[in-house]
Amino acid sequence: MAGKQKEQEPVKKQPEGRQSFEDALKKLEDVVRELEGGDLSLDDALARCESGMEACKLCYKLLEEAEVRVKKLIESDDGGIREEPFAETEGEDF
Amino acid sequence: MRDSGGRPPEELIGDAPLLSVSQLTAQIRKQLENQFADVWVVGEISNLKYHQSGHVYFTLKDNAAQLSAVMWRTVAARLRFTLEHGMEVFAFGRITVYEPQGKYQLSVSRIMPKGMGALQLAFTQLLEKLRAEGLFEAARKKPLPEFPRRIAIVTSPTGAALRDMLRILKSRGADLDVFIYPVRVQGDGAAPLIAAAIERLNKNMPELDAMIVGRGGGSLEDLWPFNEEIVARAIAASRIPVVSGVGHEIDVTISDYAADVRAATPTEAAAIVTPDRIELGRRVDNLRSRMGRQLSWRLEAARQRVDALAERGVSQRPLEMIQRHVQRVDDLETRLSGSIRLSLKQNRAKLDSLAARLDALSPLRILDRGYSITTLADTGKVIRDASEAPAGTLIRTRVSSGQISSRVEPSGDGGK
Repeated sequence: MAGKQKEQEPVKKQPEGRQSFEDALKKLEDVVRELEGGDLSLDDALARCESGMEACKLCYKLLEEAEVRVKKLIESDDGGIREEPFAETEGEDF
Repeated sequence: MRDSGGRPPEELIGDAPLLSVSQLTAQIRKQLENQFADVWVVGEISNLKYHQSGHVYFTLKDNAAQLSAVMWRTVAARLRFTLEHGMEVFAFGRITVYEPQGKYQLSVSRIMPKGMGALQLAFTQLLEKLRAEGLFEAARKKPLPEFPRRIAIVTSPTGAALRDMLRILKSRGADLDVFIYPVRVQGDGAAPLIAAAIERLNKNMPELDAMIVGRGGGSLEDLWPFNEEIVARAIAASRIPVVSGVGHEIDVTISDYAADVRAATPTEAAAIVTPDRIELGRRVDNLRSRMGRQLSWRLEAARQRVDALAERGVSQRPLEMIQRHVQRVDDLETRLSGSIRLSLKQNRAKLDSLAARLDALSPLRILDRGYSITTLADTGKVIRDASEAPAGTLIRTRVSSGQISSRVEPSGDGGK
């Protein structure tokens, strides 16, 4: 590792209230279940389809935007844990 | 005994030296301890006693003789397996003489089970012990969340295993916060550190969705911390689901048994914890085409109704309404991707038969059976209550074939 420069990866905080893929997928699943249940009027079915399309688009968008943020944990003397940035090159420091 | 001034009686004097008990014993001790300073002894353990002090006392025996043996606390503490009565062992040590009692014994510094390795035996013993306690029972296992957002990895910060895990996690494409908890994963003292890390994560970061505990491949000795009781117990006690990923496929550790999910390798652990982007994409695709099929089904049904109504000269208004729907359906359909339209095409035959079945249930078929629909002539509104058509109202009645125009007579319930 000598002479190799360590690059620090910026630690990105996850925005609060961020839409989750899980929720979007569940919404899409609900729509399909309702449609396949066959109890909806044509009007309701179309409205559900439209919201299903929205959920569908959101799913693809979230899959596209997904990212992995890596942090390192350091033990503190009081028995707690604090976070520190994790340098990507650390894992190669064998 | 007669006092003879420290000398033996005359008749016993020969070449033999005269020694006190202490002197003789000291010589025996010197002889034995010199001659048997390093010796391997093979025998069967009996009269086994784990003393409170930590020292272990036992007898080694074969079919013709027996030998007292002791294993001091410091040696016993390093022993990985548990001695058992009847166990065949190879014991290494030196003979020591305990002068006050005139006894000799083997002071054991190393001991190995006969027939299998010490580590292998230790593994088997701990496995049986924890299994008997119910530590590995399926009912104790916690499920992994399907979509984890935050996971921790307890492993060496410098191992190739961590690099591999991070690579996999990134390629899987989940949206994920990964927290690396660096610990030493081999050598004496590693096990308590690993156990402490698991406990600390439970205490300080209970919101974690899962944790991976593991390390890359190595010798059985290298992997040993993951076969230690303290680590197994910490894993079993964790409220955060634990995935173990230790060594290569062929390596199975006690930690694997204690974990909620066992992965064959650290890389596999990373893959198990996170859903796969491609897999998720397929799932969304599948839902989208099912939605598309439903839409298409509705579309066909609506079109058939429009066609049928148009054919039969229905009043314009409901027709417009349905056409509006059809337009909306068309609009939604064009927003679906090409792949879905392809699947729609493939399902065309099925859709046609479904549409035909739907048609059989439509109101138009009901008219065929002799029923009719009456509407107000000016608005086209369907009359459901006689009060909607007071005397003098112009009404139209649709029957199976064509329609009848009429004016309401001032009689019956019309004026109610």
